[in-house]
Amino acid sequence: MSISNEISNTPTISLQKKIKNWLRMLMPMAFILPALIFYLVFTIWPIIGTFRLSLFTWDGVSSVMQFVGLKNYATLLSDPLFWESFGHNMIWIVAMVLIPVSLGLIFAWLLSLPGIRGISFFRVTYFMPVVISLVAVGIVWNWIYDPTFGVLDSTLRFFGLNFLALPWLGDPQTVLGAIIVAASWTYYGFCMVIFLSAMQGLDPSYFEAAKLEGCKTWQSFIYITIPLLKNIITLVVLNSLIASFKVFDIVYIMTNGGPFHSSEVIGTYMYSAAFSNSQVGYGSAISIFLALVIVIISVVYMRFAERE
Amino acid sequence: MKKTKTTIAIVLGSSTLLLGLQVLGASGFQGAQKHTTPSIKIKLWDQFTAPADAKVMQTIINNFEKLHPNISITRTAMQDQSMQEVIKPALMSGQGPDLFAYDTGPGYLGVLAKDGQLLNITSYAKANGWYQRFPQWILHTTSINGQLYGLGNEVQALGVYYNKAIFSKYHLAVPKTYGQFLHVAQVLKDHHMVALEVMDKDQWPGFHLESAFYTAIAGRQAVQNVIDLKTKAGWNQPIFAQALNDLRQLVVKGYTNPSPLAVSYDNGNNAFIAGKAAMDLTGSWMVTELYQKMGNKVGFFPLPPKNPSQPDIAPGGLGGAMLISKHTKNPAAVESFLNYMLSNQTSSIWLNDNMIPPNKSAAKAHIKDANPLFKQVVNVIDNPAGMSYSLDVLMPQQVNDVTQNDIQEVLAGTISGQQAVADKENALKQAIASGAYY
Repeated sequence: MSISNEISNTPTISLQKKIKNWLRMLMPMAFILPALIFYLVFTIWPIIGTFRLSLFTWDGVSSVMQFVGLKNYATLLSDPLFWESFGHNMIWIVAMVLIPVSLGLIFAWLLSLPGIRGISFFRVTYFMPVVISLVAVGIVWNWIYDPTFGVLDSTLRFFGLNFLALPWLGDPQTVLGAIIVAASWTYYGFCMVIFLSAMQGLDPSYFEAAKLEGCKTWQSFIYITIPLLKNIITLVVLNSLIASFKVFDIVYIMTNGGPFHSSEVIGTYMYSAAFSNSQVGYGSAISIFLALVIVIISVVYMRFAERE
Repeated sequence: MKKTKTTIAIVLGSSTLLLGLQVLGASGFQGAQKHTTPSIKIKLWDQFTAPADAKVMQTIINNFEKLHPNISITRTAMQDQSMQEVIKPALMSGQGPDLFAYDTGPGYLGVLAKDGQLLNITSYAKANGWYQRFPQWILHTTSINGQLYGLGNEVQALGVYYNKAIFSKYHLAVPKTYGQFLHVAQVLKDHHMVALEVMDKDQWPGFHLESAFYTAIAGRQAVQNVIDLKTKAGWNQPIFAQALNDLRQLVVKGYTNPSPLAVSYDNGNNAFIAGKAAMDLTGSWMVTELYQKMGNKVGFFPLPPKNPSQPDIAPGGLGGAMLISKHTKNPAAVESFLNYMLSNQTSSIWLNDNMIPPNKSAAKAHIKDANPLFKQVVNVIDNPAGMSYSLDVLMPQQVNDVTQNDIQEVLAGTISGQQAVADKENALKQAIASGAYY
C-alpha cells in the first residue's frame, strides 16, 4: 500500500469508527427507549399534570379552571380531616410493619426448620390470601365482622364471651384495628415467601457452628437469622411502608372511611375530595403531598437502614 | 456489527411495512364504509345494572331500533356512583355518551347544565307534548331557570316496609301518626323484637333516614323552603334538629338493632327478610326483591307525620334523570329515543318490572295485575297530597359528604341533631359560595 493510498483511506476509517461508536452508544438507548417513553407518558407526565391541577380550583367539568397557586396546599395543612386521615395512615404503617412482617418472619422461620412435613402445603396455604383480590377480601371480612351473623361475633357468643362480641366495623374505637387485621391477613404470606426464599440462601455453616456451640434454635433465629436477613427485612419494611401510605381499596370496600371518618386514610380522603366532591385541585394537592411524604420517608429509611 | 445493522434494517423495514399496511387498511375500511347504509349510532350510559332492569331497558332499545332501523343504540350500565365519577371527564373529552342517567337537582344536573355540558331540550319537550304527558314537578326537577335539561326516568318513594306476619302476631296496625309508630316500636321491643332495622354502615342509607325523618317531623313545606333557599336559617332550624334527635331516640330506646353503623345495607335488608326485624326503612326500588322473598308477608307505608295535621306523605322523587350531552352529534335521534323511552307506549314495560315511569297516571292505568306490595307503593306515590323530597339527589356532594358522616354521628350519639343541622347548613353555604348549588 502506497503512502498516498494510506493518507486517502484515513478519513474513511475514522468515519467508520465514529459511526461504530455512535451505534454502540445508541444501541442501549434504543433498548431503553420504549420503557423510558412508557415511564414518561404514564408516570412522569401524570405527576406533572397532577401537580399542575393542584394549583387550580376545578370541579372536573367546567371549562374554566381558576388558578389559586399554593392555596390548595395551605388548605390541606389546616384541614383537620386530612390530618386525622394522615394519623390513621401512621397507625396503619406501624401496624403493617409490626404484624404481617413479624408474622411472615416467624412463619418463614418455622417452615425452614428441619423436620417440618408438608412445607409446600403450608407455604401455599399461607400465601393464598396474597393472590385474592382485595375487593373480595374486603367483602369476606365484612361478613366475618357482621354483628348479627358474622362468624367472629357468633363464635364469641357461642363461648359465652358476649362482652367481646363488638360491632367491629361500626365502632370508631375498633374499626381501624379490624381493617388492619384483614389487611395483615392478605400481606403476611407475601412477607413469609420473601423471607423463606432468603433463608434458603443462608450459609448453613453458621447454624452448624452455632449448634456445636450449644446454641438453641430460637437463639440462632434471633442472633444469626435475623441479622443475616437485614437487607431483606429492610426491603420488606420499605415495601410495607409505601403500601401503607397508598392504602385505599380495602378501606374503601370495608368502610369507605367510616363511621364518621374513623377509618379514613389519605387514599380514601383524596378519592372523595377529587371524585366525589369534585374538588379536583384539592384532591391533586393531597396526592402530591402524599407522594412527597412517601419519597422523603423512603429516602430517610433507606439511609438509616444503610448506615445501620 | 453487520448483524446489528441487519437487525436494525429488518426492524425498520417491517415497521414501515406495518405502518403502510395500517394506512392502507384504514383507508380501505373508510372506503368500504362509504358503501354501507348510513347509520346513526347512539351511546347510552344508564344505571340499570340489575339483570331484570337491564332486560327492560334492552327491550325498549330493541323496540325502538325496529321502528328506526337507521339508528343503533349501544348501552353501558354502571352504578350511580361510578357514573358520578366518570361522567365529567367523559363529557369533557367529547367521547362520552350521547344520553346518560344522572342524578337530578342543582348539585348534579345543575352543575352540568351550568357548565354547558347538557343539551337544552325545552323546545323539543314543548313540541312533543311533554308538558302534558308528565306532571309539572317531574319537569320542574330537571329544569334550570325554566329551561329543561333532562327527563326523570323513574319515580321512587322512601317508606317503611313492614312484616305483616309479625304485625299480625302482636295485633299491631299500620301506624298513622308518629306517636302510633313509637307505640308499635315499643310493643315489638317488649316482645324482644327489633322494631326497625337501621343499617348505615354504607353511609348512604343515612340519607334516606334523614329525608324520611325531616318529612315526618318537620314536614314537606319546611324542607321545600330550604331547598328553594327561601329561609335564612336553612337547615339550621330547631325542627330539623328535633327530627334527627327523634331518630337517635329510636336507637337509645332500643327500638332498632343494637349496632346500626356496623350493619351494611344488604345485610340489614336480609335481616328484615329473615324476619329478624319487623320494619325496614328504605326505598321503592326494593319492591321486587322483597316481594320475591317475602310474598304477601310484606307491606309498605310512609313514615307517619308527628303532627297529625301534616299529610301522611313519603319523601321521594326521581330516582334519576336521562340527560343529553351537548356534544352529541345526533341530537334529533337522541331526543327521539328519549321521547320513546318514556312514552305512554312503554309504561307497561317499566311497570312490569316494578318501576314507576314519570308519565301522568301511568302507574294507576297499568297496575291491575301488579303484586299487592307494588300497588301499595304506587298508592303512596299517587297520593293526592303529593310527595316530599329525597334530599341526597338534590343536595351537592359536599353537603352530602357532611350529612352522611353526621347522620352516623347522630346514630352513634357522638353529636346532637343541633350540631348536625348546623354542619349541614354550613356545608350548603359553602356549596352556594362555590357555585355548586344555586
